[in-house]
Amino acid sequence: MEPMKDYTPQELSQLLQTRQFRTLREIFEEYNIVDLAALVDRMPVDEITALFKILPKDKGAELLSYLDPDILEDLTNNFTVAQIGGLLEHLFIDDLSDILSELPDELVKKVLSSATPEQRSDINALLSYKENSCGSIMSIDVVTLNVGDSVKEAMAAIKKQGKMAETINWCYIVEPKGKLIGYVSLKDILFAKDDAMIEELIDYDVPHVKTEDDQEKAAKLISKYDITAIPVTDLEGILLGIITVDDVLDVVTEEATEDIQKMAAIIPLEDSYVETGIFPMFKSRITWLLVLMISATFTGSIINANNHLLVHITSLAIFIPMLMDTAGNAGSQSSTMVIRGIVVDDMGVKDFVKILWKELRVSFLAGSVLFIVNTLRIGLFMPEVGWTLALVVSATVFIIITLANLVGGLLPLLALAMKQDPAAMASPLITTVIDAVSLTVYFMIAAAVL
Amino acid sequence: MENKLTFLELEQLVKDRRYQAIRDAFDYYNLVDLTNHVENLDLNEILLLFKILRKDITAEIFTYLSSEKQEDIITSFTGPQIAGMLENLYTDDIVDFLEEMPANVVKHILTNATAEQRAEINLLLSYPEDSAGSIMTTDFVELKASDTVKKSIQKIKQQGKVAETISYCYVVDINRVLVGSIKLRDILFADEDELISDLMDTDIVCVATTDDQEHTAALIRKYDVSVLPVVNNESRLIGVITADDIIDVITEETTEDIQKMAAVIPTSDSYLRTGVLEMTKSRIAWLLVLMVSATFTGLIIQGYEVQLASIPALAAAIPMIMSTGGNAGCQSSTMVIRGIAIDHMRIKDFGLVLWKELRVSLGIGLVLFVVNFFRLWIFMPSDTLMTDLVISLTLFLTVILANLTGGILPLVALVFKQDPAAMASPLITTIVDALALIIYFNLAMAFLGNLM
Repeated sequence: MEPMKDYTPQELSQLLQTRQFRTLREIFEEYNIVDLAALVDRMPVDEITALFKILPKDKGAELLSYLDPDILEDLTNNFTVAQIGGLLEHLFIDDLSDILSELPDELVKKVLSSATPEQRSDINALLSYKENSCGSIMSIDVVTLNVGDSVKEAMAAIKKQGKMAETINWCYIVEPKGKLIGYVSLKDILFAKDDAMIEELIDYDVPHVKTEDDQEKAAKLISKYDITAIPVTDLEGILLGIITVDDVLDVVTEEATEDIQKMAAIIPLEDSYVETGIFPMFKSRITWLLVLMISATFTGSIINANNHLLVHITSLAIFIPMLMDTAGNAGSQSSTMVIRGIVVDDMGVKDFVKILWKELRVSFLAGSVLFIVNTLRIGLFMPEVGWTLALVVSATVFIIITLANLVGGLLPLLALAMKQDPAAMASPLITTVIDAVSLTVYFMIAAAVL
Repeated sequence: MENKLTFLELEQLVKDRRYQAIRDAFDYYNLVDLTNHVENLDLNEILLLFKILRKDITAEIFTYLSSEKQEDIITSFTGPQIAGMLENLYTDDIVDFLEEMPANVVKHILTNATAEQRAEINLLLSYPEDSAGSIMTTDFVELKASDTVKKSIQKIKQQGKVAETISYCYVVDINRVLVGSIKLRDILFADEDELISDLMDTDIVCVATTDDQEHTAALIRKYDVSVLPVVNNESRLIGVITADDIIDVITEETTEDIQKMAAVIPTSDSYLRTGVLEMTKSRIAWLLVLMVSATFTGLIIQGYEVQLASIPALAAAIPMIMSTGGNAGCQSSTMVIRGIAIDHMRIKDFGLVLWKELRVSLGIGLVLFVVNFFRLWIFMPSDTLMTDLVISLTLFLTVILANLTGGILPLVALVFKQDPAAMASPLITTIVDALALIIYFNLAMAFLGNLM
C-alpha cells in the first residue's frame, strides 16, 4: 500500500534537464514528501541544488528535513546564504536543529548566519540541551492561550499561531509570565459555543515534562495518559515547548534498540548495522568480550582446583558445557523478564519479595522437569555414564536452575537500587556469575556423593 | 498542578458521600492518575462512584482499569447500565476489554449493545490478532470531496464528538473508497467556501486491515504522521489507527522480540501478572530443547576423555571458550535481528553481513587471542606455552565462527519464513559450543599430541 511507484530518480533528473519545472512542481505537490526525499537522495547533488531553486520554499524546507545527512552537507555547501535564509523561514525549529546537529561546524555557522536573530536564539536554546533530554527533542512552536480568552478569541489566536505550530490539537494556557497552568483540546474549543469562555474548558491537571528530563519519560507519559503531545517546562514551570507523539515513536524504538544491545553485552551504537563502520562496530563489542573473558579466569581456577576429581572421574567433564549453558539460559530468561518489567511496567525494588517468591516457585517446577528429563537423557543416550553420576548431574541442574533464576531475577533490582542501568545486568554478566556458582555446586555434590 | 489527590483523600470523599466534591475532583485531576486510586477502592465504592459521575467520565475510567476490575464491575451492572457505558466508549476500547473477558460476560455485554455497535464490535473482533484491523478504531471523521469548508466543519462537529481523533479527516467517494486526507488545520485555516477537493492530499499512505501491526508502526514512523487510515481489499475506508496506539504496539513487539531472544516463549501479561504455571511453561520448552541438544557437546567431550585426562589444563579452559563464543554470537545475532526488525535488512544483505562480520571478528579475535594468551601465561603458570597457544588459537577461531553464525542465521531464518528473533543467542550458543569443542580437541591433538 505504499505509494510512489510512479517515478524514478532518473525520471526526475530528466524532467529537470528538460526544464519541465511545472510538472516537477506538480509532482512535489501531489506525492508524499517522504517518498520523494528517498528519490531525491539518489540524484546528483548539483541537480538537487537546482531542484531547490524551482520548488516553492515551503516544499523545499519540508524536503530538506527528510534528506540524507550526507547529502545535506554537500547541499548546504552549494546553497547561497539568501537561499538558506529562505528555507529556514519554513522549517520547524526542531527539524532545523536536527539538521544542524548532523552538519559540520563551519556549515552550522553558515546556516546560523542566515537565520533571523529570533530563530538563532531558539536554535541555540535547543542545541544546548543534553542529548536524549526532553529539551533536545521538543519543538518550541506551540499554541498558547490566555485564561481570559473567549472561544472566539481563542480560535483567532489559534489561526494566528497555528501556521507555524507543530500541532494545534492541544493549546496550552499560560499565565502572563509564561507559567503553564492548564490545557485545552482543539476538539473542545471547536465544539464549544462562540461566546463560551476558555476558562470553562481548561484541564488544570497537566501531565508535563521538564527540559532536562530523559526523553524516555516523555514517551512513557504520552503512552500512559493516552495523549498525542506533552508540554515541556523549565524548573519554574514556564512553558518552553512541546513533544508530539510522532517524535516519541522514534524515541521508543531507539531506546528499545539500546536496551537490547546492552542486554547482549554491546555498548549501544548510534547508527544502524549497515551504516556502522568496522571500527566502531569492533569497539562496541570488544569491551564486554574482554571483561567477560578475563572474568572466566574464575571458572578456570575452579576447574583447576578440582582437577583431582576430574582425573578420578573423567566423565564429570562431559556435563560441564550442558550445566553452564542451561544455567546461563535460565538466568537470561529470568533477567530478561525482570528487566523488561522494570522498563515497561514500572517494577522496582518494592517488588523484591514478589520476584523472589515467583522465581523460587518457577525454579522448582522447571528444575523438577529438567531433573527428570536429564536423568532419562543420560540414561538413554549415555548408558556408560552410570545412574549415580546421572543423578548427581540432575541434582546439580535442579540447584543451579534455582540459583540462576534468583540471580537473574534479583540482580537487575540490585542495579536499580544502586542507580545503575538494569539492562547492563543482563545475560552475559549474569552468565559469568552463574558459571562460577554452578561449577562450585557441581564439584561439591560430586565430591560428596562420588 | 503538582499536588495530586491521594488515595486516602479520595476514599474519604467516597465514604463521606461528598458527591459534589467527588465530581469536582474528577473534573479537575487527571483521570489516568485517579484511575490508579479507583483500582484500589472496594467494588461497592466503585459502583457508587460510577453512579454519581458523568457517563463519559466513568467510561474513560473504565478503559484504564485492570481487566479483573472491569469484569467485577460489568457483572454487577444492570443491562441499561452496560448500554450507557458502551455508548460512551470508543469501539477499539470496547474490543480491547472484550478480548480479556470470559465468554459469558462477553455475551452479557453484546446483548446490551445496539445493533450498530454489535456489528462494529464483531467486525473488529474478526480480524486476526496483531493485524491492523484488530487495533484500528471505526470512529473517525469522513468527508466528501465536493464538501465546502463550511459544510466540513459542520460534519466535523457532528461526527467529531465520537471520533477518536479529528486532527485528520478522510475523504471518500460514493463507494466509500478512500480518495484523500486532509488535516483539520488546513480546513480551519481555509476560506469557508473553498472545496475539500482543492485542499485535500491525494497521495495517501494507508494500510490494509490484514497488514501486520508492525508494518503499520513502521509506516507511521517513516511518514511522521499521527494517524493512518485502514482500508479493506476494495480500498474502502474501514477505520483509522492513531500514533498513540502504535506506541503500545512498538512496546509489545519489542518485549516479544526480547523474550524470544532470551529463549522465552512470549507471555501475554506482565511479569507480576503472569502466574507461576504460565511462567514455567513459557520458559521450560527452550530450556529442555537446549539441554537435550547439549548431549552433542557431552558426546564430543566423551570422545576425547583420554586427552582431557592427560592434560588437565584443557578442561579448565572449556567454560571460557564456550562463554566467549556464546557472547560473541549473541552480539552479532542481536545486531542483525534488530537490523531486520527496524532497518529492513533482508537476505539481500547476506554478502554485506558476511563481509562485515568477517572483518569485525578478525579484529576481535586477534585482540582476544593476545589478551587470553597473556592471561593464561600470568594466571595459569602451570600450563605449557603450547597449551596456552592452542587455547588462544581455539578462541580466535571460535569467535570468527560465532560471529558468522550469529550474523547469518537470522537472515537464513527469514528465508525459511521463520522469526529471526528465535534464532538468537541460546540456539546459536548451542551450535557454536559444538563447533568450538571439535576445533579445540583437534587443535590439541595436532599440537599437543606428544603430551597425550
